[in-house]
Amino acid sequence: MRDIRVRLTWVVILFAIGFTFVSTRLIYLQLVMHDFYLDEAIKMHYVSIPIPPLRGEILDRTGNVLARSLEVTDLRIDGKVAWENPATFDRLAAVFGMPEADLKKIVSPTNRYQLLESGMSFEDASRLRALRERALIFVDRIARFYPSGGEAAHVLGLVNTSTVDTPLTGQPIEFEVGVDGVEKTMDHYLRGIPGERRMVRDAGRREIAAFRRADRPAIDGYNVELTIDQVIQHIVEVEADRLEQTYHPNGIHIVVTRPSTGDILALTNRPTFDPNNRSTINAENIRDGCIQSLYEPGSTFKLVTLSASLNEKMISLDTNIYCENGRFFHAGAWLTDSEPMGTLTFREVVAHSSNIGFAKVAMMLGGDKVYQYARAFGFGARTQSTLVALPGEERGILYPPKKWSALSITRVPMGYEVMVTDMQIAMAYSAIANDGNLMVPRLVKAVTDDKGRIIAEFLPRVARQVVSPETAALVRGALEGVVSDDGTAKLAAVPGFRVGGKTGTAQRLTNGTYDKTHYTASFVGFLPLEHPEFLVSIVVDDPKGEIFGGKVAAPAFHNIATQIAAHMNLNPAGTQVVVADRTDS
Amino acid sequence: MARNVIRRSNSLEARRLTMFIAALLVLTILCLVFVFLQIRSIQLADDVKKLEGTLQDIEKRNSCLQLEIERRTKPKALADKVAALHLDLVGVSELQTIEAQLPAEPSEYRAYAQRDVTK
Repeated sequence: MRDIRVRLTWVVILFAIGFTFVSTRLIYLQLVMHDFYLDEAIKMHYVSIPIPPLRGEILDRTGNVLARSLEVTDLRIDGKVAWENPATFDRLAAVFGMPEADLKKIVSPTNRYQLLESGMSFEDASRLRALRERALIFVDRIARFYPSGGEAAHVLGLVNTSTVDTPLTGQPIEFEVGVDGVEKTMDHYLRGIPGERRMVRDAGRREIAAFRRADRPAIDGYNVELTIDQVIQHIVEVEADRLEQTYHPNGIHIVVTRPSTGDILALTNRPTFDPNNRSTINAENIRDGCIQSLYEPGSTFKLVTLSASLNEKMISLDTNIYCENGRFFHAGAWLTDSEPMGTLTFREVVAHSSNIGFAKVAMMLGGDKVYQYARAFGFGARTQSTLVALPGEERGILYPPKKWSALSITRVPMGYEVMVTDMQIAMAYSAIANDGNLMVPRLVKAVTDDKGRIIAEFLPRVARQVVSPETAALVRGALEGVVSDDGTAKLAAVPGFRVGGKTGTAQRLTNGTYDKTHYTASFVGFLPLEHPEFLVSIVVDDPKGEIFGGKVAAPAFHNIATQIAAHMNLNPAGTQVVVADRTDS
Repeated sequence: MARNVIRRSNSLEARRLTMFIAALLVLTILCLVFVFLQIRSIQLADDVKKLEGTLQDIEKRNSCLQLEIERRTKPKALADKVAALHLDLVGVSELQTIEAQLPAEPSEYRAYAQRDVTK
């Protein structure tokens, strides 16, 4: 009996110790570690997931998509799992349409996160997901697509994916961030605002939808509507390709504008890149040469002297100027023309692009006036004064007269000792085409939401009146002579239209001296002359085989302008243009 | 107290018993309804989630197809297709244009338009 009592006592003591231990542990967990475990439980079950917004679209002037973001899938494979189940290779080989042995060569048994295919479309990824292969890993991400390929690449720019903290939750999220072109300058509109989903998950990390705590959808980025016309852009791209194949130049820059608004209808450069294919990008071709490449314009710069002299009413287009039979000695150096010319009217001086004629007019004007008008036309300053612009624009080089040498008064008027961008030349000639009003180049028309409502609108802006409308009309008339049979750019003529324009052929400065084997050939022209609807400025840097602007760039203008006129349904007043079938001839 | 008296005093009345059972039944039904509604709401939330997923899939497929349409209707794609079809179309810049000298007066223009083109 006593023995039983002892045993019972021991049992009670053991139970007491056990309960004490359990109680202590419970007290420790519930009181001491309460907050820690509560936090752990909350972290495990209550999660907040940032919802990435879709980057806005970039559209052309008629609403065609130039850039769009889309969710794509990267396909990865767990090599270890695949090699543990060799039948996997057999099944996957059938799906990928490749021999099993080749697939086995690709998949490493040690790599558990090997990339098989990047950027798969939703359709393709869905087909593979349906296989329910354990070895396959699907990683969704958002990618940017440019449906036109490399067309307008320098305008659109690029995006990079970078991880940034979301503003509200502070959680990291992958964002597409613009790094060049419109993608960069309009990034704050395009980017969008991330959303957030707070939810409860079960032990299997699946959401218990009934207990969803908050669901704030992401606000997708706004759409940016450009002034670019994708058809005109394509026309320009095709011509740039033709120029590149024919003349193998160092670079080509083409800008098409609408003079009345300053709208940039197309812009292209060579070399260029395809934003869909990162491997095509290098430091050379990513430069937007239209606004970043400086060159000595040559004769296209004669516009300044021409406009200034007429606006100052110093001479008329019928004033006679003696062109010294092609050789003129001034300030210790010879100035020559491409061909000997005697006495010409100022109109003929323009048509034949006589350097001597322009030098004499500039000397009559004086350096200060030439400089003043050059500045007024926008040379030596950025054309884009707003944030809605392309990044990295160069100012160009235009020295004030006090820094000029004695020779400068004969060199600056014919486009030497100055450096300009193609955009500056295009905007200066646009001013003449627009009755003397210099416009601020406009690349972005508006920012809209997904329902098409306007969020921000960027209206055409006049920078300043450079010359009077009467002077502009006179200058346009003089520029028509350049495209006549007697002018330097007869190959630029467009049948059925009156065209105004100016050629430029400038020696390139190499190692401090002018190289007689390397030239910059250019042409800038507009039509219809009566009321210019568009302007094309073409610069071909160091063409091989042919050097003259009238031979290299003027035919390119003809090709581009003919097609744009057809695209715009332009029809000159008073004439009926009948398009004949080729078989008629 | 006699055993019979105790038994009588402890017994429940039939009416009270019925009421008690009825109340219990109502409570049970309410509990069951509550549980059923909870389960139903969980099921519905799951259905909503599935629908959300389906909607997302459709939107993704739609975006994919829209992009494909954009790609195929780009001027470059159309030009490439025309080139591939060997239609031998004449480029706009190669077209011959002839300026027709039309009469300026409307009456003359009518006569011009009504002329016998076969001659």
